[in-house]
Amino acid sequence: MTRWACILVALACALSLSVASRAQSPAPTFASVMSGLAQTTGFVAQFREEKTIELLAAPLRSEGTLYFAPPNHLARRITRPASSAMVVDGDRVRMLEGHAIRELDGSQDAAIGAFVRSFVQLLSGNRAELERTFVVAFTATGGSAWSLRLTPRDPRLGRLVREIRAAGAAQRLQELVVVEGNGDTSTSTFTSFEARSLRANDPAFQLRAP
Amino acid sequence: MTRLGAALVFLAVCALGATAAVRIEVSNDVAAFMPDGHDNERAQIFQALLAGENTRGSVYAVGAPSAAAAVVASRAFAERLRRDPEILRVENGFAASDGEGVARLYRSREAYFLSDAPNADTWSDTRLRTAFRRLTEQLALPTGGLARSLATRDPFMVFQHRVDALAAMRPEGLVARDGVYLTRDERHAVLFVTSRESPFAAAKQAPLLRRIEQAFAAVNANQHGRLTLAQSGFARFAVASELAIRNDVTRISILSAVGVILFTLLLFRSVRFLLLTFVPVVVGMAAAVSVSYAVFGAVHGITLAFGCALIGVTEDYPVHLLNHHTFAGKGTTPAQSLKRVWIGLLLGAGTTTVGLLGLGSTTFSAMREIAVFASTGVIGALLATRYLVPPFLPVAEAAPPQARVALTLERVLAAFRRRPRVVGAVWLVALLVVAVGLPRVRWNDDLSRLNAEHPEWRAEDARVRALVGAPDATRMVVALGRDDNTALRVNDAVAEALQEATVAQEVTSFQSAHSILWSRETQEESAESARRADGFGERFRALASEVGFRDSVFDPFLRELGSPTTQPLSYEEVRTSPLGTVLQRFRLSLPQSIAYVTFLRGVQHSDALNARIASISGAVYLDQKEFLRDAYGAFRTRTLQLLALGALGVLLIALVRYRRIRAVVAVCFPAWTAAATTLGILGLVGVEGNLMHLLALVLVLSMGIDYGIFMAEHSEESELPSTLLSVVAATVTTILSFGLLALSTNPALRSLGMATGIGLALCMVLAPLALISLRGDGSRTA
Repeated sequence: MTRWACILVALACALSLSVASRAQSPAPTFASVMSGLAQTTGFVAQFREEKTIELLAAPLRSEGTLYFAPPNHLARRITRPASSAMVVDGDRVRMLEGHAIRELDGSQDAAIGAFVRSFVQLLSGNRAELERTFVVAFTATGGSAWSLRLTPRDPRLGRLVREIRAAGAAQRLQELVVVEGNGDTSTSTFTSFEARSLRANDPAFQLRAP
Repeated sequence: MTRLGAALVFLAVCALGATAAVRIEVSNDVAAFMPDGHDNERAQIFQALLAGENTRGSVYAVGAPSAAAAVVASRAFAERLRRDPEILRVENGFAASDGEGVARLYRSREAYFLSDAPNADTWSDTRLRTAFRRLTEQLALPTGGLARSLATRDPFMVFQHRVDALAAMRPEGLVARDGVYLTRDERHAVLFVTSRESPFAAAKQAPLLRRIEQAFAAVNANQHGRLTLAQSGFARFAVASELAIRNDVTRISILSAVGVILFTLLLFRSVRFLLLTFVPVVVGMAAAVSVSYAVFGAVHGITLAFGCALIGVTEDYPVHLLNHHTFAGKGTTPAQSLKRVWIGLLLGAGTTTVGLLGLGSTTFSAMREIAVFASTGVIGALLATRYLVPPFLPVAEAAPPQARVALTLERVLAAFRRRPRVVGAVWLVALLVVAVGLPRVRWNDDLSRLNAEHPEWRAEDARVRALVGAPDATRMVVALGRDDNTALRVNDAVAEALQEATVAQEVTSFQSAHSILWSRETQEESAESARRADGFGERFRALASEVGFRDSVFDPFLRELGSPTTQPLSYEEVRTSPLGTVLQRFRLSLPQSIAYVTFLRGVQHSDALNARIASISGAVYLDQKEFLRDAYGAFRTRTLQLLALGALGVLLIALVRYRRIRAVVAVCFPAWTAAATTLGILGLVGVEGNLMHLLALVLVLSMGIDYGIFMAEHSEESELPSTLLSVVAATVTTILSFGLLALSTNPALRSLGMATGIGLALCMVLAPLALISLRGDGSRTA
């Protein structure tokens, strides 16, 4: 065998091993994605949102930062075009609007509460709760990529949210689409994802009126 | 009157008294110590507040190991409480249907709630543009679904503003979990319980409180004893106070009766005399209860206690008669003895009644009750002494055993006569105490000082209020009107003024019915101002489009504004909606008007706020504590004036009777000095003076004058021993009844007993000494 023949054989072996290795890597499942999300110790991500509202002639665009500390602390701070914030602490949802902090009591409106909770459940990988609230359709879309479609089981929630579509890779959420009951749609794209251990008392989750 | 006739009258009066005693209601309503509502608006408001839902409400905090356990406990506890017929309402959170009910209330009425104070700028382009931008921001929120569903009819987010205003009315310390109120630490469920009856209706409240405790015990048993219960509210204090007064009255009455019986038996050694001394007492009590029932229908506990104490006082009349009769000498008939003492008894009862009736001219219902109760008792006892006792008296025989006591007293008096310096020293000491102590008397007009103290309950009450974050409901603004709409119109003006006061930092925040309902005029003006605004529809559409809204999306709103399909929201509609219970907390029904109360938080500049509110016709700023202090201060001043007036009346009566200055001084000066010395002693020992002390002084003056009259009427040497004995017997029996009130746990009764005991003891000493001082060698002066 010539030297070239040896190199080709070696390359072929390496290639076949690589292919074999790839072939053995399992496609993501709902369980594996949820399990992976459940292991997160928190993250910070930038997001860009585009909201299509029937009342408005053009979509609304906004940018901001999302903070998450498992199991149920979430802060969504919009920096552009105008600053606002929403902090979720368990069932408690507070919003900073202008100079006022308003508390939305999730239990006052079961549908809004369920919607807010469902987003937190998704981020914390709470599979049981998600499946209790939604009909889940999971699809592996190639490699570690996946997509998820959540359809509310409760008609009251269904009137508020027609469906939630999420897409990601491995344990990262990349896009979230919420189709509301009246057809309005918001699409959030997450970038600059950074795993960070956050605690509930982190300043990111504190809400103070300016 | 024959014995049979006397016995029949006695039985008839007793039967009447017993019937009234069974029917009469005993209250401990604090309002009885307020000036009557007829006097001024503030008193009416105060009394209505006391009778209103806020006073009937209690807050229960159920402690639990977790939020979930608290939610379960709250639901179970509320369910049990709602079954109780005496409970009007239990609020432990939001019902799911409440939100829909509230939405229905404001639906299609958005134009009526656009602006409560529209002006030229309200509908300017700038303001409209700002409103559209705010709506856009709201739509962009993750929770903007509600705004999106309502926006076409409600572009100014009227409903959202109403919901926010309602949320702001919830106590600051509460959150709702699964529709249940929890404290922020989520370790306590909070229930607001409103009873049907006033907390001062102890007959209903005491069993209700027991049933509430039992209901909690059952819930706690289901949770393995892990729950705790704390409460805040008037009911517990009122029931405890009523119970304490009842117990005190029972205990002291028994002690008093036993003491009086023993003393009388020791004095007269005759069961017949003992029974006879009780006849005027029983008749006096029966008359007092009957007349009080006929006039008032109910008596305050304090009135009852005072009435019981009258037992000892009115016993003086038969004791005085019996003393003189037994000392009168062999063969004296009861009629002759009565004739001898009658003028003294009549004068004594007359001056006492004049003093008591003076109290009746105050505007405090409790004082009027006491005046009527006591003066009726005195008159009844006097008449019984006059007509019912003599038929049962034997013809006088030899000197009775009490002669020894009387002679001893005479010797003591003689010893004083021989030592004028000692007598002078006694007067000097008394006057010194007056001179030094009187200026030191500090009056405390705080009503709460007269209530029973329960420091542990007060601490628990404060703890619950802190947990819940309930506002201090002692400062408020009241909007008055002849009907709901008129009052609401004033309330609208009050809300506007308070908004300005908040900006001026005179007050931190306020809770008002304005968050729920505006007057019809304000609602109509809200819609009309938009309709009137120059080119409103065109500008509205153009600006909406400019901000980014599609064309015609707000046509439903503009159509409703142009041609309303609904009437303005009315009180009746709110009353029957889920917001009805909230609105009721702010609404008072007064005899001639309707009032809406705005509760203030963090009043920083009371005077400025008062001035601001004073400029609104029909609005009243009310600081409950200040009001009570002022009212009681005024009452105290009035009582002092009445005391002075009463003293003048007594002086005139004495002048008419005796026509000599020395005799008048002998009658009046001991009582006046004793009253002043009593106050001086209180000042010296640092006891704060209160209304009950003043009331006691009325008694001291009334009875002290009696002593003076007895001494003046019977100052002949032959009558002196029996008169001295009468005075001492009167003092001992009175102290056995009134003085024993000093043992009461109720501060009001305690003050009364203490001052009466001191005052009458001084009267007992000073009345004979006055006689000595004025007579010198003992010759007759009167």
